[in-house]
Amino acid sequence: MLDVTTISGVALAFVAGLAAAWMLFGIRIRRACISPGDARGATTPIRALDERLRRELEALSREHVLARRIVEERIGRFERMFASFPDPILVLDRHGDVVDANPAAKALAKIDADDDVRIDAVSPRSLEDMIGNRTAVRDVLEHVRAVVAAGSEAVRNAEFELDSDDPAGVGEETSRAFEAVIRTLDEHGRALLVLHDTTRERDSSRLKSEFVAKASHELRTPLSSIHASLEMLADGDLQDHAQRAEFLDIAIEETDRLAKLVNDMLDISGIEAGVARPRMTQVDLAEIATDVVDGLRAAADRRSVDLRLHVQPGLVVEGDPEMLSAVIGNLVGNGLKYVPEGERVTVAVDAEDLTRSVVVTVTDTGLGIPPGDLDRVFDKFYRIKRYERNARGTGLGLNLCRNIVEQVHHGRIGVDSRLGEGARFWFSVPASHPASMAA
Amino acid sequence: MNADSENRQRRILVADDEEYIVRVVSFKLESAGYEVVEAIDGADAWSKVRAGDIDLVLTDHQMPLMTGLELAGRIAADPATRHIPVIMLTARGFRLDAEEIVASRIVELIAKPFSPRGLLDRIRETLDSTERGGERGGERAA
Repeated sequence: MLDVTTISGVALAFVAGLAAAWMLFGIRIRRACISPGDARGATTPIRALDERLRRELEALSREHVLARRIVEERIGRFERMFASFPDPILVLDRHGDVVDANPAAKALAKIDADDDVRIDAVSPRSLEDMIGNRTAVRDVLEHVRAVVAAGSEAVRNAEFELDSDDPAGVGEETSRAFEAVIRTLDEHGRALLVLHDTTRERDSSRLKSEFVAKASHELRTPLSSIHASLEMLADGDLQDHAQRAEFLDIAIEETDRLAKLVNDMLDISGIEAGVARPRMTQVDLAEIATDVVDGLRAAADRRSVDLRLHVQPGLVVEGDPEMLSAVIGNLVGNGLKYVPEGERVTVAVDAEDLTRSVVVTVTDTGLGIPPGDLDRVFDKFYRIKRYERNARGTGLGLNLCRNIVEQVHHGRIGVDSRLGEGARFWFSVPASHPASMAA
Repeated sequence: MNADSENRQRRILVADDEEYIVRVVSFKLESAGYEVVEAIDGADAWSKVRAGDIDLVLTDHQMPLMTGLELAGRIAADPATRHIPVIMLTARGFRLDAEEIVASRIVELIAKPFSPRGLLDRIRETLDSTERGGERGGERAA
């Protein structure tokens, strides 16, 4: 049975359909209906009206198509931005459940992009399911409630850490740090949660703190010896000339160590901050290596270390001669310091055709470096446990070498070693002149 | 320097991987009449403490093989050595948390750079109070 409402609905639909038909086919209908006899008198105003309506309709239609295209384009743009945004973005409903998530957020939740997992108002996900950390979720949801309660434009920030199962950092800190921005999205109580990965900033800040702690320890150690020696001298504890000489020597040696430490720290910070001003010129590395070896010959003799030099003449690079000399000096000095008496340290300067560079190697026949330490010997203040007792240096020498070679000269530096079979430190700098290449 | 006859029998272990610090501290303590046993790292220190006859341990914190804190922890955990007071030289700002104070029983932290004169005073005070405390400890044990 059709009731009144249905009938009126049908009638309405019929009328609407008729109107639409008139609008679309009006011209043709009317052309067909108007007889040719009364065309002149009655059709002129109708035709004018008809024409005006047609033009307006066409204009409206064009505007509609244009507006629709603009909206579609904007939606498409926002969808692409949402999809390609590197930070995880989640839309939360008023209960704090996730009703939309971009691929970065899905990746955080370990949802494979190819799996086409649906997250929307019909199939929401819990936030804990997405980010997996109950404490962080509780914290974030509290902020969500606060921004929703505060209404439009409310923004809250939160920080939290999530455990990471990324095997890249074995033995290191593996949690990821995030900064969350939570803001109201609309009047339906939905909120937007944008997560920014701050792991790198956190790690960098930790490294800086560690550096400050280590630098502080390294500075205090010579200061302690200097202060103690001088105080004992002042207190009259040192009664004969030999004692006074011994403790004054300690104070002088530790002052030199302190000065070298401060210089190394300043040189490294200068290079790292990009404010070091190297004096680049054509440098013959063979000549520099010869000078360095000559300068260290006496030290080698004192320790009965056989110091040898093999160089090809005329191996020229563009570089700062003082800095390159410091690199070779540090590498040879380390060799002399750490090899047992009677062992050998060999310095060689060669051309490397393949990479068109000049390579300096310092090879020793000492104790070698444990495999676990190889990657870290160029780190600041890193000391190989078994050699700590021998370390009278600043702990910064190899790091300064790496900075000079890689940052200033765009070269490479490294070490090869097997425990018990000595070590081979090397660095290479691009050759600046074809004549420097081997025949 | 007048040797303090009362201190003549006391043996102090000085542990530091910095040979000059060991040298100046040992000189100061020996001049005051103490007998000094030197150790170059944490493991060396621990084996010398276990060998016996040490009245006080003065140790650096950052040492190879075993830190000063670990050394103090071992000394405190071993019934044969737990009566030995430990004074630790550290960087300024180094703090022990409550748990570490209990576990390590470190009696004093002295920041580097330190005054040998001040250090000697603290060692004297510590040995005096330990002697008194030791008697009380003996009563408790009995």
